[in-house]
Amino acid sequence: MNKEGTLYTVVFIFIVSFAFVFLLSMTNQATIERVRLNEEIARQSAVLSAMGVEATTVEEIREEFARIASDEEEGLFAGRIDGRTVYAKEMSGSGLWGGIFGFLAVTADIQTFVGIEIVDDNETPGLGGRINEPWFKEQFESQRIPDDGITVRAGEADPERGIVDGITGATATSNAMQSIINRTVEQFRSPEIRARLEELAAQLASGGEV
Amino acid sequence: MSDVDTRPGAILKNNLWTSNPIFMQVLGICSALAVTNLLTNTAIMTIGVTFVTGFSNLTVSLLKKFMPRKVRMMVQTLIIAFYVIIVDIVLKAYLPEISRNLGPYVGLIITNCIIMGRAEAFAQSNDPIPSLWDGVTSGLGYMGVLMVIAVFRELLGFGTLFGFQILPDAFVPWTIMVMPPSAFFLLGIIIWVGKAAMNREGAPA
Amino acid sequence: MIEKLFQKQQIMRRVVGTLLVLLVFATYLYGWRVLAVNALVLVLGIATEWIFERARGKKVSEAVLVTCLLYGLALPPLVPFWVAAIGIIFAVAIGKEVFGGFGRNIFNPAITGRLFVYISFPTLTQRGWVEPRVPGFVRNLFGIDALTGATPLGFLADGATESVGFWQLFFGFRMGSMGESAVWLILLAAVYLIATRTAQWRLIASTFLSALLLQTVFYFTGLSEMVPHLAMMSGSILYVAVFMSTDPVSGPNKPGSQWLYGLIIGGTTILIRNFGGFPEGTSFGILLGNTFASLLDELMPKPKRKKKPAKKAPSREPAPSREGAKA
Repeated sequence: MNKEGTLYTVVFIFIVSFAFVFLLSMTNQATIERVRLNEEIARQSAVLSAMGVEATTVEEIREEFARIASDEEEGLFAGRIDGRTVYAKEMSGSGLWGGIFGFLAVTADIQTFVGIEIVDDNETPGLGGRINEPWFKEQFESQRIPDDGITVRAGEADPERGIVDGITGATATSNAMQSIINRTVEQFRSPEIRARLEELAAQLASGGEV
Repeated sequence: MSDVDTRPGAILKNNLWTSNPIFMQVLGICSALAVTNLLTNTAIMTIGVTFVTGFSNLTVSLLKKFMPRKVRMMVQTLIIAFYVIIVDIVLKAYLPEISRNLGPYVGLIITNCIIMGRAEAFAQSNDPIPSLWDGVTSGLGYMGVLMVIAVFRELLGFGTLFGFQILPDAFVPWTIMVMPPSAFFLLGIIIWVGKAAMNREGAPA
Repeated sequence: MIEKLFQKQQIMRRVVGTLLVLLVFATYLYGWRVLAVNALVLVLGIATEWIFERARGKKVSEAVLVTCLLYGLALPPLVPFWVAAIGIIFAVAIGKEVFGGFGRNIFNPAITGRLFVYISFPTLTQRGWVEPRVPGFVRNLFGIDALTGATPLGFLADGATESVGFWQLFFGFRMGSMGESAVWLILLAAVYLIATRTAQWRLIASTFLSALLLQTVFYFTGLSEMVPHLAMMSGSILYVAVFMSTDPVSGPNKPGSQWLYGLIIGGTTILIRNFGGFPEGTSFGILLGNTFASLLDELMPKPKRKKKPAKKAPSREPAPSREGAKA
């Protein structure tokens, strides 16, 4: 058979493509469960971390997460942490290169942040990507929420006026975080979401497992 | 690259030094600029590249007898994409944290010119084992330069190395070192130093 | 000694002269620290160039004095000495010498160095202003009165126009980088440099006018709150238009491209001031202009007198020695 002929070429490409795609799907299949599990644990751990619950091992995360009332469809969570009710909600929005996705936790009166956690982002590693670093996230713990929202600005941190420190050199990411967080706070304050959160909190009080 | 010396030692020296992919061939620059601000990310990324270059070279070399000439680039791309996706899957499954940090960069390994360059320049005309070795050493040559850049960038940009605080708290981080442009002139300086050293050595430039 | 160290460049001496006047006035406004910073910058700048040029067997160009002073005067009065040092070494080594020394650099070295520290150390170079005290010599001796108050540009951006006085701006009694504040002195310098054919008037005019025009458009369409005539006297736009855009090495040579070049600088400045993440955009404007300078010259119709040699670098080298006949 002529190696440079059309038939041979087509058959060759077909076989090669088939073989590699087959191998890929095998690998994918073999790890898909693990990847899914990783994602689920990452998600649960993020919710807990936003709410200020410490849980490091997989077992701890599962155990602690089971104590939280959650509405996975709406991305709403309610928990009783250290005797007070804490709400958490998914937050998402667009950053510099792509979406930013995470969780925001607030007190039941929606006047104070409890914490934030970023699950996924495509910000520049080492630059905008620093929103994942503890110093950035810790600023939100017990930060009062001003009525007109918080401000994220590099080098001008002032908790009294609701200004948290942004990332120097990553203005776009800082601005994105500001608008994502403020939008999520707005959503927390909307009547439907508040009602749903209160329902979840009530489930907690009645000891209902979710 | 017509008559290449395929002795392992010669390949090693060639790829790590005399025709280092980064500072002699100036290939793979995009990723050199993008990921080098943290040593850990750089290490993982370059290990990924080394793995992909090695195995795509091996595979290309194994298949070269059956490969029709006119579609060889397509097949090379297919093979490279295959290994890149494998790396991506493995990172997602076993090192989710790192996978998250590297974000889109792992997928972009496929666009790294070094890999295709080695497949075309070496694997296409050499035996499988030397090809594997060539791919791995090319990856190492790439890794070496990127790690040097990353040491400077992480140290000056964050005051840390591999995430450990090295410089005192009084040190003011250089923001520009965190941003891609710094890699651009650091790379320039490294190329300069490398070539100067080479000229002194009297190697054919 | 001087003869041995420097190559003689008349054109550069005139610029150095005007910059020294600015330096004296800045010292008068902000205190002796201004002199100390500039002295350090000069020493390090000359030393850096000397190290490179010695390897080539050449003398230090007098242009490095201009670079040092332009860079030094573009810093805030309270800039830490080590920041000033890093910037000037970077400016001369990476901005100029790696390209082959005087006449071969693509980018204005002073701006390259300034932008390097401006981006690297934003908290140290975008602050550190000193309230002018007259006479500033004694009270600002060691720059103890650190103020993080706003510069006129900051006031204008926030719409606090009443905090900015026209005559204060004109005579330079305001916070800002060392050399950028004295509008009247910079205007005098411009007249002198144009009259002695040291600086090309077209570059100054196009940079300044395009910035003014764009700012006016933004102001009257409501996109910007900065009052145009005050905005043009604030920040470093005037300083940059007179001293930086006219750099014969990194700027274009043909009249048409000089107008476009100024347009790039002025336009970029105003866009960054109003919509960018940085308070001042002049440095970015210059670098962007530098990037396009050769291309603009290349795109302009060829002059009748003689064909340009294919090689760029050598053809540019003699330009400054033409004594400003066509700077």
